[in-house]
Amino acid sequence: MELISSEFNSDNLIEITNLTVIRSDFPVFSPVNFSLGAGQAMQIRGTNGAGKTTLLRAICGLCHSLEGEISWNDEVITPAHQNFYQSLLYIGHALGLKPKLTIEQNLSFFQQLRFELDSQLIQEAMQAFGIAELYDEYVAKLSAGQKRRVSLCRIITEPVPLWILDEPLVALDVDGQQWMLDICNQHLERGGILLITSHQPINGIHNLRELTLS
Amino acid sequence: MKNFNRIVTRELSVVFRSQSEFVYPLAFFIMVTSMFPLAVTPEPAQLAFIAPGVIWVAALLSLLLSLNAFYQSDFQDGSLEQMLLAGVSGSLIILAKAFANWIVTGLPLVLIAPIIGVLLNLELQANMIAMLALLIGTPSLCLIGAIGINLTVGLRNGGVLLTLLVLPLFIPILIFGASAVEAASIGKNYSGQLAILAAILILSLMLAPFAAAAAMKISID
Repeated sequence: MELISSEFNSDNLIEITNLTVIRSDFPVFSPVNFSLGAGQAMQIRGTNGAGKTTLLRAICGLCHSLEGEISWNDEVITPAHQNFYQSLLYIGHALGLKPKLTIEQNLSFFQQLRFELDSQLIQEAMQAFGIAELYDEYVAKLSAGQKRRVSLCRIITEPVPLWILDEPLVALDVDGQQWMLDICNQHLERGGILLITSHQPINGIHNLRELTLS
Repeated sequence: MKNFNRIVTRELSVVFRSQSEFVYPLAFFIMVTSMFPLAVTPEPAQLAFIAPGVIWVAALLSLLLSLNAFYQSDFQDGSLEQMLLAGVSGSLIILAKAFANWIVTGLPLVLIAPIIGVLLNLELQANMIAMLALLIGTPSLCLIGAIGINLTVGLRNGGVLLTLLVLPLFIPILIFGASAVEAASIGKNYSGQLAILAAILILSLMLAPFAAAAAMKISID
């Protein structure tokens, strides 16, 4: 099952230098340094409240009280950095799905913000994720795991090199988790970059580096 | 521009799926305005005297009521941050949402106002001016309201704060809107008031999206 067809630029590089987020005058975690190039993956670890989600959101540019520097392909990221936002997919705890729209409406809306509409690809993604029969279903009627699957379909419908996934395995069943790990591996083989958090141990992603927040 | 259309379409399809939430402000407008003849006086001359104020106050409050439905859920379910992360600028999101807000709440008010005007014994001329003034004034209300709701959307009890923040900014529109209708009903020149309403609209079109986008980013942080 080969779903990711695009090859990514092998020069892509995200660099994090001395990054920390300040909340009520105190840093949430001690400064973080790392860089990830094409084909590299990193898992962020830490106890509850250690700041994993905060770190990921800071990298995405959703936190403003941060110190340090994030650069994408040697350019420091500013809020108006189109190049970076064309290359990024962040899936967090809030899935960004509208309960009152169908799965297809939700997925095609996000796809069209950055890419041309490709209904074929959306159907293939849903097929691969085992929710093809729910194509016209309203998101409100889905279970937590099915909603998670819908949001994860975006990693296929929006082919971008940098995936930032916050607890993507939550609410997925065993098959879903395995499928997710397979797709992550395919992504890395094609020169993608992966930044992931998870409380479960992740076995099966090749060369997964670890970073523990303190 | 394409993204503007997409966001508007999406907002409207959400509205279409949950009408009750969005019909409420319009129902509020009709209820409040139709209660005045019962509560104050059925005397035609006096009704015509209070009509401009009643229509404008009710329009303003019902627009204030509509804001939450348009911004709260997008903020909570994460679709707002997803739109930002897809590279759509904050001010474009605001502009699209305010436009959808106006289509769903403002435009029906404009269309129903003449009927309410007849109910409140406004003359034909004043009634048409009320409609025109609402047509120019309500988009500004949606845009200014967007600033307030984006500042308070992340707070647990933002409702009261929203009212405190936004109502003072609504006052000029209220004053000039109502006074345009009043001037028309006593046969005076009303073009000055309409021109000021138009000026406020241009000003809020230019500035409100940026202010609201900045507020949105603070709320998301």
